[in-house]
Amino acid sequence: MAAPALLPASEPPIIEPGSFRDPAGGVVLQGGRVFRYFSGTAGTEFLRLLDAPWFGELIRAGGVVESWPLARAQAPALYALAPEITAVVEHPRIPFVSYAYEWPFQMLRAAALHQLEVTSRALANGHMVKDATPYNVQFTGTRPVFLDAGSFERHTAGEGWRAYAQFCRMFLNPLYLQAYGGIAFQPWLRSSLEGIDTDTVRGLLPLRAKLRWAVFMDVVLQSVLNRRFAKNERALRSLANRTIPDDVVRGMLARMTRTVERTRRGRGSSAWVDYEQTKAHYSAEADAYKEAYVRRTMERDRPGTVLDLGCNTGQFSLIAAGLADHVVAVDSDEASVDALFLRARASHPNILPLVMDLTNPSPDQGWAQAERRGFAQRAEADLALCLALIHHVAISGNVPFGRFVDWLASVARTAIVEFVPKSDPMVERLLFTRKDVYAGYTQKHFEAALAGRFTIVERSALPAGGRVLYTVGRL
Amino acid sequence: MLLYIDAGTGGIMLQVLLSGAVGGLVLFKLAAKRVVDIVLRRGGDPAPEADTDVAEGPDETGSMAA
Repeated sequence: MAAPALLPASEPPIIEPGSFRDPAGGVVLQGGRVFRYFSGTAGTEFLRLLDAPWFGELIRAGGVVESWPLARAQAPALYALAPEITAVVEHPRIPFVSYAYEWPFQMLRAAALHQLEVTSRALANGHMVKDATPYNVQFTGTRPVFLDAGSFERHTAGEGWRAYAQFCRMFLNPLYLQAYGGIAFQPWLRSSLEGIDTDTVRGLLPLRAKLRWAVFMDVVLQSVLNRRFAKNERALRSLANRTIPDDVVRGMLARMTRTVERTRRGRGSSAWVDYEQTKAHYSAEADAYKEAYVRRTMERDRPGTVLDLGCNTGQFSLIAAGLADHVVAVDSDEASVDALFLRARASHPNILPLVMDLTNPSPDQGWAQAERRGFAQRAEADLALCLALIHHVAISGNVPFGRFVDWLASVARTAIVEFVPKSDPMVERLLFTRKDVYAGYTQKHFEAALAGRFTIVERSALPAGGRVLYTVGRL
Repeated sequence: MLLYIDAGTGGIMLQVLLSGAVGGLVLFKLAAKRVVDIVLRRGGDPAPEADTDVAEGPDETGSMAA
């Protein structure tokens, strides 16, 4: 493990606003670096855990975030945060923090399997992961990593898997909802940070889903038992004294792993998932021109972080991934983002695909509206790609050019933006079912809006159809 | 994030049921009754009162009571 350098005394430590619930420790940010402190016996326990071969193996495999211990002399300001702090470690920074309500189906599934694997490995080595929430898992590109080093504790035999119900609420129920109900889980998780409760899922799933053994056990039966016994004090008292053999817990983890592995995203309907193969409004020449333009601009400017806004299945995310450190690819069509995740995982693991409607991006929320940060708070890219996007924002979303440009300037230093004229078949299609109230939707107005926040570095018309590419730099 | 979580009555109860032979029988009984209940209702969500009938097993067998 790398030896951490001394911290600059001038930088005040800031408690991470999403890290305050655990009395045994928390996360602190200082000088752009990430630290975790442990209180009381949790500190010595964690330092011991760091020396355990199985835990080191998990870290080396990238399954659990790296932790570099810091002595008191190396981080006096952090140890001074509270008298009970007994250990401080530094973690590497995650390039872009994302939340489960921004993940497509396959990402939540991958995170669920990761949580189960980490829990199983811990149990096999006399430990337990005391909770089961996707907020403890982050993605570095397409790779899940377990972040909450403070979640590991020594296992008490007979205690059972206390996080089972939370695992169902946070991982399993959302996956079931999409897989067997065809209902997108992202809006549910966004509005309910504690997950989707079992009673709700039970009411939403169709009969044929409830007849599946796994769904029956984890949804129907759990819900029935909850309702039947939640107010039965005698049963609740007896539960407190019950011993649950570790074999049962191992069996549940194995069954849950098989269940999640077998869960498949229903095909669902998406008008956009085949867009890259079927788009007829671009000539092959125009498409190749656009790809070459993006490649050439990126080779010249070498951005570290790229936002691909309206990424679809990732035609340009894949190009960007070859030329940048990290790409965050965003689209509102979940099926397209899901397809991009599978595509990127195979060949471009530095792409983080996210589901989000750009006209209603993730807000600041949770406790004091600071626990989970909004998209604009997290996004600060060197380059944003806004290709074939502006007509969706301005016409489908009724967002005026000026407002879009203001927002764009808040999330990216430079951008490549494609203007799509009203004569374009895709814009015409949008206007089939709308009254044309978009008199201001012209190239002239678009350029004027851009000029309010950016310098236009380059302007280039696509070979046919009237679309224009702009490279802009923030003023 | 949420570390000292409510393990959930249903979640713990399920593990208790799975942890013993008596529990297994109770589980089987609950499962069988539930399937019959759901099928007879032809897709309708079982009414809450049905839960009382279905889950009376644990008290009878003593597997739930201390």
